[in-house]
Amino acid sequence: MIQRWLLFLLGSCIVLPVHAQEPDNANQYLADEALDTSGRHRLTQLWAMLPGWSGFAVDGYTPTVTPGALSLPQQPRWAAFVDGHHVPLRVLGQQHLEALPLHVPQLGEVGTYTRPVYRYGQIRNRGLLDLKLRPLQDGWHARGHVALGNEIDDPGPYRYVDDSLPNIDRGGPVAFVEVSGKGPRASLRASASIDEHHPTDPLVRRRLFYLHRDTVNPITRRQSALVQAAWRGGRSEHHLLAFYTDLQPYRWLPGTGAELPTFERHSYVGLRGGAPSYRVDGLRYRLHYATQDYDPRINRDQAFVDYRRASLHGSMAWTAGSPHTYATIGASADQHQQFDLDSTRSFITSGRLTGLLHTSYASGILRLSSEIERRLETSALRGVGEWTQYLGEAHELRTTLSYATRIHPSYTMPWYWEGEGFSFYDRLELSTVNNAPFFTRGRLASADVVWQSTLGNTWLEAGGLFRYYSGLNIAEYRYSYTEEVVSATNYAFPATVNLRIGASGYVAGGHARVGVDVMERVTSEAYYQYQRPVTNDDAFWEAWAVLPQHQAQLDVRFAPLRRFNVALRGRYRSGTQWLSFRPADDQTGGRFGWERPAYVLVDAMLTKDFWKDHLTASIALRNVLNTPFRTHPAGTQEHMTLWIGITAGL
Amino acid sequence: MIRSALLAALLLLTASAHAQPVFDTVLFSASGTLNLDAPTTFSDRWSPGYGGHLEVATPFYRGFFELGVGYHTYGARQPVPVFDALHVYGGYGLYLIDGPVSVSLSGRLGNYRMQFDEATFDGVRTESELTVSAVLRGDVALGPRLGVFASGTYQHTYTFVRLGLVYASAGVTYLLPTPSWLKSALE
Repeated sequence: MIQRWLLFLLGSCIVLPVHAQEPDNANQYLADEALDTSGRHRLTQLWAMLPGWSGFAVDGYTPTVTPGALSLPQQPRWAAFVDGHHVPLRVLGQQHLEALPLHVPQLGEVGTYTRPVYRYGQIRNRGLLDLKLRPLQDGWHARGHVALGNEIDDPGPYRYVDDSLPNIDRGGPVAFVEVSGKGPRASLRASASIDEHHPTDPLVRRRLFYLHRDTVNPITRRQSALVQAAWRGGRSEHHLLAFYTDLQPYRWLPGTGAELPTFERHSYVGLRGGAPSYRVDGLRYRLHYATQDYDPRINRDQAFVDYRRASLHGSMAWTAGSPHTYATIGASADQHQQFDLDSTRSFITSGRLTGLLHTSYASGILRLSSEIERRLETSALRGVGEWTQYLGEAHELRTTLSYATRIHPSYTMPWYWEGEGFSFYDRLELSTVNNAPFFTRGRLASADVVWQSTLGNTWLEAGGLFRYYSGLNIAEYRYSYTEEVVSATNYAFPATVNLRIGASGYVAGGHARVGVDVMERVTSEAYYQYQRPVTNDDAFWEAWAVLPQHQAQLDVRFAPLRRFNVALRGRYRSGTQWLSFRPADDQTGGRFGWERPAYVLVDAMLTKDFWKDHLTASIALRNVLNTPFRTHPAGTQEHMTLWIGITAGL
Repeated sequence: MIRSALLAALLLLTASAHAQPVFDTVLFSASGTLNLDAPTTFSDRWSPGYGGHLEVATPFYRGFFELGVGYHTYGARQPVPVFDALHVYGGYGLYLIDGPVSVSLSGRLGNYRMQFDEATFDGVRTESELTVSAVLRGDVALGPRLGVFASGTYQHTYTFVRLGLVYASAGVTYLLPTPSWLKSALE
């Protein structure tokens, strides 16, 4: 008996400190096995595997997503972490995951938080994407990956019969090479990656054809390099992440009414460390410096965006206590600089104080965190209470309540700076908002409840969410349509914008998830989500109506042989409404469809490992039913696509 | 199309399990192919000609896995360019009848790369498109290694105007035990 207790205590000392600091309580996890058998290659394709994240994509390549109704769909502000390093992605009111120098086969784990949480030293109440790279193995290793995708409906020989038939989108090459080394105290990883996407949808291509000089074969291209290093000593550890990404996208920015061909450079250096991660207590730090540059690409009308954003972050957090009960207090400072062609600059400096109290007891965990932020000569308060109650060995109830005063800055939105004299979109005739407030204050109150049960080979989850927003600034765009060339971006959808200040309303919803090991080697998981705005505020309703109210997903995985997997995924998304495109539809007799219909997508994936797992081949047939779906009225219509990928490692 | 898929699925489900160990043998096939021309909008303009296929197959989970490459030629019946096509595919099949005389049904996924004899636009002379095929095949073993076979193939090519082509093929097969290094790599 005493031996068992000693073993238990020893096990607790090893296991608890690691998890006590950052409990495994993400809303959804994707482990390496799920990622390996997903047939997904690009990071931006991850969203299809995360049903709690809703969104849309104009170009079929760069989705705009919002997790758990935690920020407006038109102003996504979720946080992205790569191996515990916070990477700022937000530029001109948008977030682009393709700025990260990673492909899906480089990931070992993905965790998502669609509720407010305290994580990585701060309160994250706008959603969080937590990416972990594949763990390194001892010694020196090398890996490489290449994938190609081809959408159906090419003209084939009928090109010579009907020259109006379009060529259809091609994906890839999506590729990376990586070398890594790991010793007892230090590790190093370096990788380089590329990605290409060929936008050929007739609607998109027509806009690009006018604006961009390379009309033969417009390509969205990404090239990146990444270095990751870690050093672990007896009393401390330090982790470095640095990357550089060169992007050449056709960026649809709200209000432009067309894609702007841009050069974008994203660079990042982050360092974090302090007390070893196997300990709860100790002092820890985080530092990062990131820059995001938008420059023009050559185009016919010499329209361009010239913009640069630099972010500097530093934080310290000190934790004291035991693995079961501990307290953390931390302070952080951020400075964001924005400047454009005219060297107009803005400096926004903010500081935060954050505290956490964590206690775990025999049947549960309670975490209380609070934060005060000083920014723009005003203050914001945030608080999150996370309570996990174990009900026997099979059931768990997780409740999260949060309240935050939010600073809604206009300074991140292009229409504000255009009105203030910044020349982000030089030579473009954009509608702007004059006399917009620099910032407004609002509130977010949220509640999330999740019940989880494990019953034999079945596990169940059911939950509900509630959000109350006030004091939001919502841009109401109205797009008309023209085929006459007025100016570069006013070619397609000239826009007007009206700013609704102080919008408020509720968002409520619920979800259910069931996972069943149907039989040996066959697993399945079903997910359903309902989410809708509740408000009398038209602007608030319009802002949320672009997301589907109903979402469902069914995954079935079959492993008939060792190292061989067959996976099927079905997805349903209910219809969406885009009131901003209603004028264009009225003008053209419904050509663009401001009411997007519901759709069902089915994907099939095969994965086979060869040569003792040194080689992996995957075939993915996406949208097997060939549902012609479009998630945005001005966006790409997507069809059945074949993706083939090979990963090799030594 | 859906009926065909359901019929194929039913046949696959009712097929007898092939008990041969996974990756135990490699079956090489070489064949000549004749397109069975049918009156379509495609055959009004192009005349499918002869072709050939090279394939390898190995036992895999109650059936067999195959990889192959085919070459097809197309002449012109109207003033349109002639073209050649390279078909690269992989597939999985089950034996409906097993033994010295065997009958199998397989499904294939592939890429059809068409090379035209004049530029389509701006110098581009090729088009690639996804194919899905169903193959009914009969094999007769003439000895421990040598055999002959005949097959019928329906190939669905997902160009904007779908191409549905039917082929008849006949050829020879040669069976080899899988070398241990290759079997190890495949496993």
